[in-house]
This record gives sequence, structure tokens and C-alpha cells, in this order.
Amino acid sequence: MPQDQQVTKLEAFLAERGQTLMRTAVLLAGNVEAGEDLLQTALERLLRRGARLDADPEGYVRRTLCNLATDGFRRQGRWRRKMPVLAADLLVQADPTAQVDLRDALVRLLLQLPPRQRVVLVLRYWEQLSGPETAAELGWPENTVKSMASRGLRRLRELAGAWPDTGPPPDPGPLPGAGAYLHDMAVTLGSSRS
Amino acid sequence: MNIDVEDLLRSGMERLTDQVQAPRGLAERAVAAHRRRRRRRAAAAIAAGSAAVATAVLVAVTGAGLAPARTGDGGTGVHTVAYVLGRVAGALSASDMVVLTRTTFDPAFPPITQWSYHGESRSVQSGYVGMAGAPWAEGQESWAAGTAVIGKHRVNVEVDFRHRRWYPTPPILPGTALNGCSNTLDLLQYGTGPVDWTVYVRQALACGTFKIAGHGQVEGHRAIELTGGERRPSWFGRNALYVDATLYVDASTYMPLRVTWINRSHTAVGFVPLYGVVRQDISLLSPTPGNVALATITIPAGFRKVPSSTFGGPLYQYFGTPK
Repeated sequence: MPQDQQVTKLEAFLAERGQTLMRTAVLLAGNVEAGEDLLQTALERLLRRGARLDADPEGYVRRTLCNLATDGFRRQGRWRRKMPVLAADLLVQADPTAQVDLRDALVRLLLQLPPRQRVVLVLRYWEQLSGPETAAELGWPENTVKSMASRGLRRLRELAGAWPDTGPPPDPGPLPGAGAYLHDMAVTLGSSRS
Repeated sequence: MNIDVEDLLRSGMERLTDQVQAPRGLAERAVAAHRRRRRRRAAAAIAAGSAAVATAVLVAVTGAGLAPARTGDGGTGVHTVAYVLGRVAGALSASDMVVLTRTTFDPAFPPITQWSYHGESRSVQSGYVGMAGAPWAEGQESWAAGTAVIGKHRVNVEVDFRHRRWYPTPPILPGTALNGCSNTLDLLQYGTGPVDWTVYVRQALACGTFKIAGHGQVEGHRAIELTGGERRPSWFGRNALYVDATLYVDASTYMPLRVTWINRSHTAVGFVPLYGVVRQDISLLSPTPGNVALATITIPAGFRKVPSSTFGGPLYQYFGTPK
């Protein structure tokens, strides 16, 4: 198929479903730039499959986004390049002048959760999928999905539990789990190099 | 404090991504990146093929022989195919023979014969399809395509013998497969198969088109059998193309002997169902002046030159008149 035709069809698809997919990609990747990167990679995979465009391209792209976010994207080394960005994000969150409400803090913590926990929470609470649907989407056992959702929510509840009832919200500081996340990531990256 | 974390998370995600849009030009970038990747993979496959040939030669020198070609496409199949096709490409390149390709169709259709020699080629269709149901003029040369020398220049031409006319054409290029390899298993516009078998085989190698299927006999020659298939669903799910090909290569000389194309698409293209079997038998002629001359078209005196694409090749008749 000529390149122009391929672009046109892909543009038509993105005009209809692009925003939804981009929002999912941003939530999975952690920021807009990484989300664009992630979505572009997923679209490349879609083109590689070819036939998927006339089947269920949105489902395929969403599944690819999730898989990339949990595995492939990180393995490709893109997470390695994002590490300074993540570290910078944490420094910003430690700024005592930051005025954030609990809702934003929760989302920021979500973005710092380990990829598998984050993917499950995004599918459950953003894509509104049930547990079994999430398991089917990711191709994981249902118990794994339950476990990831439970761990992720536990961290979020820890933050919410410590949140004051009144007054200006506190500096979330080094958010619960963030350090551990970076440590996990460093270990993962270290092991992936060997 | 009793906080519904899940609701807050949901609305937080909504708020965070509220203004997010898919960036403009994303589709174009994805398509461009996709194509870059395919080109890199094709180049890597060629490099891998060369490495496989070198390894195989080394194995042959040390006495291990060509045992892998007997196996199916198991774990070593890719290298085995690379080795065989590498040898085929090498044999074709080293050959100074005139390659004669006879193309026959089932259901019956006027056969096409092609002579090619070092970039020169002449494809001739014997007979033609008249009105529906009318018999062919069997044995009568109706159409030709290939290279001709006009003045001092070599040009590609098509000639319509029945109407005594001709026109120059762009060079005949291989079609582009969906997987990015400039090599399709279906018959192209001219229905004559590859103009340059060396180019074809190298592309087949790069594209991973074939796998080793075993051995067979072709016209008394022991042959290595390679099979390939192409499933090319169309963008809209209609007119999908399903073609299987079998390539037989002489087991001792590595020259191609036969290609069989089975088109099982059963979808209408033009007015004719696109299905059937096309067989191409390949043989080699010594490069005598007479045989070499067969690979060049001579436009008969009195034929008039007409604008390009005034008439089409034989498959226009097969698939319907050109629009």
C-alpha cells in the first residue's frame, strides 16, 4: 500500500480514536512526551501487523500500549532515557511550595508505581474494565491482575490516609513507594544490562 | 477520613489528561518509522544471508556437505534457506546463459515465453484472448514486452503485433509486497514473472519469502523444493490475496528450474476471478549470438508508435480491460 494511503487511513483512525488512546498512553507512560513516544511505537506495531486496521485496531493498539508499558517499552531502553525525567519529576514534587490536592497527588503517585501495577490501575479505573476483562486484555492470570491492583491501591490509600482533612495539603515529599520504585527500576535496568 | 480513592483516581486521571490530544503528524511519523524499520530489517537479512553462505562454504570445505537442505524448516531453516537462495543467486550471477522461462496458465490462457540475458529481456505471448468464448489465435505472436534497442539507446517497450503498434514503457519493476519487500508472489501486470531471476532470488532471500520444503524431481533433475506463501488481506477486508508459491532449484547447480504459483484468492478483479495455477519452467540456453538475440525485442518495420499505456499486457485481458 502506498505510504500516502497508509498515512491517510491511520490519520482517519487517529481522528476518531486518537485522543482516547493518547490519554491512555500518557497515563501509562507518565508524561505527554513519553506518551507520544509510546503511542507512536504502538502504531508502528499496528502497521507491522497490517491486517489489524480492519479488525479492531483500537483494541490492538491499547493492548500494545499496555504490553509496551509493562515490558517492551522498558526493554527497548526508552525507560533508561526517561530515568532523568522521572528523577526530575520527583525533585519537583519535593518542592515545599507545590500546592497540589489529593487527587493530583494520587495521579502523580500512580505514574510512579511499577509498570505492571500502573497498567492494571489504568485499565481498571481509566478504561473502566472489570478484573476479568483486564486479565483478558493483558493476557495475565486474573489473580495477578487482582494482586497488582491491590498493591497499587494500597499505596494510593496510604497516601490518602495520611492526607489532612483540612487546610492546605502537605508536600507529598518523596511519595510513598517512589524511592522503592526508583530502586526497583535501577535493579531492573542493572539486570537487563547483564 | 473516608476517601473513595478509586473515584479520586479516576477523576484525577480525567483531569490530568483532559487537554491531551494525539499530536499532529503522528500517523506520518509512525508510517515513516515503520518503513525505516522494514528497510533496516531487509538489509540485515541480506547481511545474514551472506554470512550464512560463508558459513556453509566453510562447512562444505570441511566435509560436512549440504545435509541441512534435507531437513524441514526447523530451527536452522532460516539459515538453510539463506544458504540455498544465496547459492541460487550466486549461480545466476556467475552464469552466462540465456534464461528461458515458459509461463503456462491453468485455467488455460495464452502462454508467455521469456528470454533474458544480462538485463535484456523479451517476453512474448503466443495467441490472444478474443471476445468472450472466442478461441485464441494459438501460435500467433500477439504481444511482447521487454527491452529494445532504438537508435543507440536501450529502452523498455511493449508491442502489440495484432494492431501493429508499440510504445515505450518505464523499466519493469518488481511489485511491492505488503511486508515492504519489493517482491510479490502474485503475478504482476505483465504476468511474466521476474524479469531478472537474480534480483528476484536476492529479494526473496531478503524478504524471507521461502522456506525449505524438501526435495523433488523436475524434468529428471533432482531439485530442492522451496515453498512460500503470501496472505495479503486488503485494507478493507475485500479482494484479499492468497498465493502459494513453490520454487524448485537444481540440487547440484542451484539454478532455478520451476516456479508454481497457486492463487486461491477467488475474488473478482475486473471481470475475471483471480485464481488458478501459473507454472513457470526455467531452462538455460547457451549464449550463442542467436540465443542472445532472442532476449531483445526488434520492433518490426511499419509498426506505429502510440502513447504509453494505449494497450495493456496479457493480464489486462486476464483481469479485465484497463480503465
